[in-house]
Amino acid sequence: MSKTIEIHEFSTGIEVTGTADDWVAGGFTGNYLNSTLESVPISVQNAIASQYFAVAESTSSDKPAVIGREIIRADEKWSVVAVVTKGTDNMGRPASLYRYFLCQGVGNIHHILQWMYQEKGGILVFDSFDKQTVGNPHRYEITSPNSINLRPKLESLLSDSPPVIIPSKEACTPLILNKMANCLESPVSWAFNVKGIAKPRIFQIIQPVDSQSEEIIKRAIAKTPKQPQLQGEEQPITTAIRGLTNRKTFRPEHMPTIENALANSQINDEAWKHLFEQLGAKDEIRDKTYAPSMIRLLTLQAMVLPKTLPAFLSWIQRTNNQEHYKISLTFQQQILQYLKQDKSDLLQARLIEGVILIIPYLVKQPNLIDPLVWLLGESQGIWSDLYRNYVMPAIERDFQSIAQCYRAKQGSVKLEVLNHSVWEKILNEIQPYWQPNANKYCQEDYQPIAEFFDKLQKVNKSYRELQLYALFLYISQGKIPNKLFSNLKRNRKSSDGLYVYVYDVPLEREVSWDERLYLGTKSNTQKIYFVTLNIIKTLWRLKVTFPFPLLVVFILISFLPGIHYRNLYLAIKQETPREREAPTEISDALLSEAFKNFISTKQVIKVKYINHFLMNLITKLISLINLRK
Amino acid sequence: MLDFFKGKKTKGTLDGLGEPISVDGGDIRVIGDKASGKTTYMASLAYWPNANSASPVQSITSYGDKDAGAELIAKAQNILEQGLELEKTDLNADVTAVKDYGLSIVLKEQFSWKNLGFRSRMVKLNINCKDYAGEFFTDLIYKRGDPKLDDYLEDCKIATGILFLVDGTTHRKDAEYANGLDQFFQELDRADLDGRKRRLAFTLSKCEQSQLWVSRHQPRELAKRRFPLVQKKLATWHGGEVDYFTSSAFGTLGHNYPEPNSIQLTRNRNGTTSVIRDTKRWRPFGLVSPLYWLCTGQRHHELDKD
Repeated sequence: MSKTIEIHEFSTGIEVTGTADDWVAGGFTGNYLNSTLESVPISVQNAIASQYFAVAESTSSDKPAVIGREIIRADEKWSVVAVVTKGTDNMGRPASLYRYFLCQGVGNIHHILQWMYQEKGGILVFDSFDKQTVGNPHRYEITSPNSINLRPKLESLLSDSPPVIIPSKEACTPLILNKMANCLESPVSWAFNVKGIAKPRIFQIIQPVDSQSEEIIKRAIAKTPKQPQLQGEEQPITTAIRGLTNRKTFRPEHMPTIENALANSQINDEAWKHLFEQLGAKDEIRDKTYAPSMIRLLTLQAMVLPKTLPAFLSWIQRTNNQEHYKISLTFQQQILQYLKQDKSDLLQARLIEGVILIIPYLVKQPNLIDPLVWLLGESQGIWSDLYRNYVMPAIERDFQSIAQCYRAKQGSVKLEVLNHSVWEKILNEIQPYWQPNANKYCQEDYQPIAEFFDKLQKVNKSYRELQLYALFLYISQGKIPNKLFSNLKRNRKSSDGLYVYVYDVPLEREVSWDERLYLGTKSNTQKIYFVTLNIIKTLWRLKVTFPFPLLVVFILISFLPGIHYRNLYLAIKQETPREREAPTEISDALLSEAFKNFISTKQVIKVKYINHFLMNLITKLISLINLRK
Repeated sequence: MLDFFKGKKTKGTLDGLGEPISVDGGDIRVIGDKASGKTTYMASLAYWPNANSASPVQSITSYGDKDAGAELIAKAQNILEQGLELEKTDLNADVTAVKDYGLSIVLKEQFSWKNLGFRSRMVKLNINCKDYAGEFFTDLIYKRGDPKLDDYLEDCKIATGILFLVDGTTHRKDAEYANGLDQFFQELDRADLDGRKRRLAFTLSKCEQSQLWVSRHQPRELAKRRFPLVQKKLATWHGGEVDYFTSSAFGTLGHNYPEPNSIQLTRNRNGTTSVIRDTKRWRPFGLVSPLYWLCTGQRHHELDKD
């Protein structure tokens, strides 16, 4: 069975003067020469630009190096053979000249090589005088199948991990290398007779031209880390990232490339990471140049790879240079502007994911609170915009749903943010707060989250964050300060004035032992004493002289009997009922014991300090009366 | 009172001096005729061989694009280790794909910006630099209207600094360069740079050649003498600032009777090509000075010294 294949070709674009036997290279033209194709396929162009066929600088020679590679993209498949030789220009300077042969589909490298050997008498090298025209590819009738048997020595080399280096002294041909590569995983890639390769890691099989080159190539492989096989797809992405980040002027024309790459399953997070690292992102975190291009690069990386957002924040806050924040912010606003006009759901989803990931991250890294407040609050940048418009409302809806779920006693609840794996731990640990009988433990770990929402509510002047501040503060400390309690004006409060409900969770405010004394009083008579105290306070302020301590002692002694023993006991022990249950029946003995302990531990009770102590006490009582009002 | 203490603290402690002042030089394009030494200039700069301890330059490191940085170093190693001639820089069909070299140049404390503060501080110049193929410059003269050339010109217009490198031995091409520059300025002047001033550093390369070396400290006069038409064009350009520099990527050997540290390969109307002679004593001259000026607008005389 025979089949005819079409072999296309094109060569490095360079001006040539002289004759076929004696020519000199002039300048590069920037276009390909002697092409049989109207335009070189994008996938092949990308692979060339990504140096998938490139020999290392100054390593081309008159002895042709041959490179075979299959390029597989979702929509295109090509078998390509590149032949590299050295040319010289009129100034005597060297240049590597390439002649590419390509055939549609994979598995055709063998046929391209056979065509050269059978019909052209050997490997075809760069020859500007071998004129080709568009639309006239070479045609070759496939006669023999790929039936090369490998020597045992070569077969044994295949068990090495790629790139497999075939010693230069092992006699080989491009056909043999191609056969060997075919035994490995697709797509095929090999380099024959090379002195040096620009990217040796992206080859399966390499045969250096001599033992010295073998050493150079082995050293090059050892010092380059393994990299994902991207089939040259990296080129347009790298160009787009560079185009977006290298300069101040925003170039929106690069954005579609980023979006397409995000939609391309081949470009996974690992590939993105590699691309950003190649552009210097990883080194920058270490070296801290803070060049504007680097600030934009790391900002973009944090957008595309949400997991790098914490590292970005910690890097940018290190110098606390406002200029650096400003550069990042300008860039964010440019992308935000773009997103608002040309919607990119994929990039937006990643940005939102970044916001969702980073809030729980504060538990591990509380030092990021301030930069995060900048990022989500002060900056008015892209993350801040998405936080305000998407994430914060979603978090609020989640808490409302949870509250609704417990109120209605339903089993399942549909969440948007809190169901994310990074929030799972938090969600599990805070759920008991909606269950009246569940054991609740203070989760001090959440203090940074509380602090973050506090700072953010001050910046954003937002009630939503104020509520979350209160909730997380309560979860981390077991109570909330009175000031915060009174600031939660829109929330329902318990009739005793001790609790405020945030998403149905009753948050108890701080109750000091002297306030508890007041709370314990039942009769109106005693309440009048507090009013009297207020008057005394005013007199005191007005510097009216009177036997003050005596008066106070009298007042206190007068209302003491009316106080509930239990509250007094708790007040003396400085504990609140929620934390530890006090004995329900307090005997005189128990109270007196607690009182003795209290006095022995309080220095202030000593006569020397009594005036001072009483004054403090009265001040507190008065402030509490005001609070109760 | 508090402010007074604060101020005093910053001045008195080391943390005010530890971090160098960052000067973002922005965007620089290296342009010039083919074989004028653009890539060699960049490679020598990135490699910064045999630094003189008296030099105001503390360090030069590459940042950003790892491939680009590694490529420059590899090129420099080709010069250094093997005494090879560098390859021609390919004319990339897509200007956005042209390698953009990020270089961070740190200048020592005592030499930096003395006039700006009570105490001078280390200065860090962050430079993004594109090394165009020489074809760009010849195309300016012969291929006007070419879409590829237009892309390159557009890319040039956003640059804040242009390093125009000219092989000092190509004085016979003075008229040609003046013509190219004329076309270049016409294009450049059409684009506004958000009110910022564009700077062009006219830099003579290959000044290790003895006929140039003797005048290396009078760059303006040297330019005037050897490239009168170009100099005239530059002097009458109102689109930005111009200053003159001399440089040598290879440097010279010997103090009293210096000779070029290079072996000449070709020498004709198109200039001189050489490879390095003594790699162990490779010390470039004048490479940082034009960049410093492009970034800051100030001439750093220490950088012009041998």
